[in-house]
Amino acid sequence: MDSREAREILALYRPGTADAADPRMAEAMDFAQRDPELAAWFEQHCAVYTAIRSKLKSIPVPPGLKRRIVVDHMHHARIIPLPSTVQLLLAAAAIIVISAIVWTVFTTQNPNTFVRYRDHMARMVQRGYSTSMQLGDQSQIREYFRTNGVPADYVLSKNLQKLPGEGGVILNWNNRKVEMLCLDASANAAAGKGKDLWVFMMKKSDVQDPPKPGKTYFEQVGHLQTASWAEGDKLYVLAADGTRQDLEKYLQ
Amino acid sequence: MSDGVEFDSLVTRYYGPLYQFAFSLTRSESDACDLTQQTFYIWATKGHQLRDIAKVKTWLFTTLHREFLNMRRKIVRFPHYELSEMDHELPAISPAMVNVLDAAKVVELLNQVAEPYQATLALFYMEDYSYKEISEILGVPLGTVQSRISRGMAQLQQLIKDLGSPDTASKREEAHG
Repeated sequence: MDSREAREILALYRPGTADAADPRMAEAMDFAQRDPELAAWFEQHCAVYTAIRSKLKSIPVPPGLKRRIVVDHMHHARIIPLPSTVQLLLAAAAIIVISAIVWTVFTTQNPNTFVRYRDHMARMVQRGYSTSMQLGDQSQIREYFRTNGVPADYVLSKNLQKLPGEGGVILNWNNRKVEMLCLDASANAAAGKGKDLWVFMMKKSDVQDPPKPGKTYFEQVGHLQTASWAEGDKLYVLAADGTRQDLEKYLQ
Repeated sequence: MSDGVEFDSLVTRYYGPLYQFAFSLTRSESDACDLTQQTFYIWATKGHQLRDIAKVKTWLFTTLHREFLNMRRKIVRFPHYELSEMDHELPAISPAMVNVLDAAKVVELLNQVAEPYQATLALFYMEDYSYKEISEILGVPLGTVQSRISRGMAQLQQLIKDLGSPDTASKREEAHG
């Protein structure tokens, strides 16, 4: 190995990586120790590499990117292609479930009570919902509701208004339209707790026994805590993975 | 690997480096965000096909680079370079000449390097991949990776040197004045 060859090899050397373990690199580095001119060049080369690397590693990453990817995944995850056998089994299971639901709808009474409505919504989000959601911040979601024929004049508490919007969707419950607003509560969520918070809104008159005005009703449904209240002509249900005290804070 | 919790931790671990790699290729925040998001979307739909889970990171970078090439093919055809004609003697520059630049300027200079060298150089500087892994990500032979790095590094250092030389500075002033 001569000085020129050693320099060509060392030009590809990256300090702080596994390159030093490469036998040819190690040999070239040994050579550089015996050649002061090459050693000085090599030292400069490493310093320049480190400077360029640190510049490129400091490219700022947009703060909302991670949430955008995860929210996007929430929807796409439900269309992951599965092996055909699994697909067939799932299709068969879906037919059975749909048949059972249709049979239930046509053969049983399904009164529009407040408790049924609240529990249905809270359990739906716990199971995972497959409806595509309109993504955006709170004002964009409100605009989406307004342009899609549902009331957008709902009133949220100050603390709920502060939460970043994740998405909104218009649901159907017993032929009544329900607005579902999904908010990002990750900044306030305790460790191990869910990061999403849902607000459901519908006309108060769509249930036969709405909560009394001026009073908030708390109830645990599955692993979600719910808070429900009526205000104006609307019925609100808030659901989140937290305690009653957590929800009370959001309502302030 | 595709369930919610593991997906979340995968994103947490790699979305930053992937975005930086994408930005170094596109110089556009929105394009880099789209490429990063598309990479994780492809992971969510096809990641289960990866047999060796230890290669997740390489798989993600390979996918992002492939998506970048697809995106570029829709816009321009790559110019052809005669690699053998390019001088790759390393111009002498000091760390101080780099330190006065901000990250955006370094990315701008990286994008002035000949097209075939850009992705190779970005991986060379930003990630700790072995040369073999870089060749897998880019789908080119190991020797090609090494020659692209040598030549690309020479071009980048020449651009940095030109930026700091009085002649270039006065030419820039004339051009603006």
